[in-house]
Amino acid sequence: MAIVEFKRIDITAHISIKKEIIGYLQEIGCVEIIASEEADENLEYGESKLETHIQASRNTMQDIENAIRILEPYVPAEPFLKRIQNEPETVAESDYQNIVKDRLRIYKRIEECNALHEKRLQIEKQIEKALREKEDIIPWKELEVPLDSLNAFTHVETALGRIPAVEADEFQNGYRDITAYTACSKVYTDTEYVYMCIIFHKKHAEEIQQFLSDSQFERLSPPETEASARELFRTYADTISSCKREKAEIEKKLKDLSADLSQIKAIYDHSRTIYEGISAGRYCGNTASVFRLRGWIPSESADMVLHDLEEMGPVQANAFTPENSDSKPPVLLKNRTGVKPFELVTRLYGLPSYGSLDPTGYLAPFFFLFFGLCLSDAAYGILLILFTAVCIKKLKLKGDLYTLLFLCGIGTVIGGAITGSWFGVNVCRLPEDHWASFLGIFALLDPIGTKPEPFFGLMLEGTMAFFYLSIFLGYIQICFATFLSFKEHIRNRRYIEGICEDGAWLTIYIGILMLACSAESMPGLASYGWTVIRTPSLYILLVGLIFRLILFPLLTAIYEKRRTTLLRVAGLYALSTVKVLDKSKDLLGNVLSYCRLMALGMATGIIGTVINQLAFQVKAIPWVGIIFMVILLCGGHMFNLLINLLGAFVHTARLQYVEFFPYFYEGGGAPFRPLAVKNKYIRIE
Amino acid sequence: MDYGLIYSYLGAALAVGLAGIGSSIGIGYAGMASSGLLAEEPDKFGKALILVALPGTQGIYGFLVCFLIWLKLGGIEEMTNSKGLILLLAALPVGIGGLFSGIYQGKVSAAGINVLAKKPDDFFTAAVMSVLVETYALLGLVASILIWLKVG
Repeated sequence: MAIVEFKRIDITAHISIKKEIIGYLQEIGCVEIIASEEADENLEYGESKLETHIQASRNTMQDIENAIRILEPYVPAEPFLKRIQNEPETVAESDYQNIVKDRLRIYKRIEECNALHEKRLQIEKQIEKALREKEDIIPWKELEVPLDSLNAFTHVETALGRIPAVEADEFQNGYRDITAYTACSKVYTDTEYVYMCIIFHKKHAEEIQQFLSDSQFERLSPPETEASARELFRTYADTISSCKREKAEIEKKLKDLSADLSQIKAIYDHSRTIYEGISAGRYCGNTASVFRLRGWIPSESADMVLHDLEEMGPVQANAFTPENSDSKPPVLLKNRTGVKPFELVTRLYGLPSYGSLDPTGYLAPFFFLFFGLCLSDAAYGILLILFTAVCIKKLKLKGDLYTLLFLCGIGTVIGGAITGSWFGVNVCRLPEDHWASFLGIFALLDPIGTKPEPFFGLMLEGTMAFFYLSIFLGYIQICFATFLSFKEHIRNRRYIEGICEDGAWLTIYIGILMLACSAESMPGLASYGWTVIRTPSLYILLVGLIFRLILFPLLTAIYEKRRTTLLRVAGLYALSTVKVLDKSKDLLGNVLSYCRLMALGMATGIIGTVINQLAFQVKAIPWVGIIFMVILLCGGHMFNLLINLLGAFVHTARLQYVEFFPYFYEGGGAPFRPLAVKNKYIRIE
Repeated sequence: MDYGLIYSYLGAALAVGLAGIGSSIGIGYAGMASSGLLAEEPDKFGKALILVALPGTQGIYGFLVCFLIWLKLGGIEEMTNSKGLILLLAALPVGIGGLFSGIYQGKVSAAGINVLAKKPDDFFTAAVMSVLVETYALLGLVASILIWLKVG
């Protein structure tokens, strides 16, 4: 339940073994390089041509990635299970070394692949262009004359174009009215347009142009070549078929290349490791013959790494805890196996800052219980446990989420048992002789009950009991949060804040709780004689208020480092009163927010009950009723489980972030990103 | 004149009708946004479907309350005006709450499609935003149930 302690490690070594050292660091993967330059005028950062190397390396990686993407469609698809497992391929160490030795040949194949792909793109563009031109030339196919001759007449002009089919006749009639010394013939008709060729004497040119522009006639100009339209059409068709043939050849060649895909993937990982290694050089300070590297390393690994480095040759390395905190170490969480899955919840919010409290261990039991109360159905919990167990063990899916859901499934079984809900059936309401009625012994309350029933000594309706339970659990979590804040302040030696603020508030909270329990309107508790604690509770409340309202401003004024004046003290008292009022309002809001546990729990129960009732009604249909009932039960409960699972996760997490964390959590931690070998496609044995 | 039954059935109709309107509009917004995304990237269909389906729960909650009112009418021997009116009022939290929260949840889901398009790894955060709007439909459902429980 902690944030791992880090030490600064400084490595100074001779330039000749720079590659070896960086390679070693990548292998062990537990040093994060500080990505900034030291303020030292003797050191030079970024040796000449380093950026060029980095760029070249990145380009190589990019080329290999492109090749993988191009070749992937040619390899038969993996079965669905393997795809969702996303396991990297295992490669033996010796095979990997052979592939790396052979890499020049593989680079050639990659180049070939990329070139073929480029060519294929070009051919596809050509095919597209040819198809378009073919489409455009179809109307003029019947014209036997060379196309460039159409504009070469001395006395006559031609106009080729098209007009919407519905206007064609009107156009032709209108056209003939202008002049007789003209010819207008339909060359081609399709569903929308009529294509025409108009020939007219140049002296009528103006009127005819005017007429054409007034009408819906759209002028088209086919390409001016010596060939006729029909020949052009044939040429385009030939182009298309030869391009298609070329493309098929390219596809065949790519398919042959795809046999090398797994080697190409191995080379990708190799080149990525090299890229990361070269990039790490960016933050090495250099002199003429020496380089210097600064980083962060977990304290427990420091000795081993120092020892290994000393054996490498001319190296000077030391690990230490830096005095001033000009740059903060990264944050790595370390928790027990049962708590580790809950790191997902912490990470979703943001890592705590280095040196502060890791909230994961503290939020775990609350998250576990609250999730169970929200998704309050024991049978759904069992389903969740089974499903996640199968995912982890059989399907071998990786990820914290599955383990977290497994644990929360156990919480759900507890939550469901407490509310007596199993697949939407309320076991408290079953008749005595029913086989499942024994499950009622676990039930503390009935979430939709309207008759007062005993609940921890109080006679309450089920809904009220659930409400009080949620509020009470929320109150406990807020008291715990205040206690954590108290602990943190004491640990950071801020005693006044710790005792007079957090300690005082804790006392006030306990006082309020005791006062509430001793109230006469709690008939059950009153009958047990709890009213006796009323007077002590008032004293406790008073002590807390005195500490917070009177002592805290006074002590702050005495121990603060500026000159104390009466005005300052009065100001502190006023501020203190305002803050106490503010915090009381916050307390009320925060505690009442926990009633969402009751709302979500009730919702799951009600939806489950209604599904069961619906299914029961449907069963009455003759013959097919049973089938519909089964479908409705399966579908309905699955829907209920999924929707309320999402809601339970989101709301339980929200309660932690908004009601629990603000009391003690300090954020702003940067995640630990060590220099390491990050293989994407393969795993070396 | 005893209008109890009429009020009750009006309540049942409003519960499912209003909540259904909310869900339809909400899913409509989200569906329109996701069609734009799927036109460019059809392989994000699964995740887009989750975001589009999220505003659908309001309609289900409305139907639930409708069904519960219908069930209760089978069990009440004496229906009076006041009982009918209370059942009508019981339908309103889920109906009106579902109407507005469905519309706004649809808008949030539609915006979440943006997140899915640009940063598919952060898709879960978009789903979380959408679920937060649904809280109020859920509280409406619970309020309706609490009132419904007290009738008869």
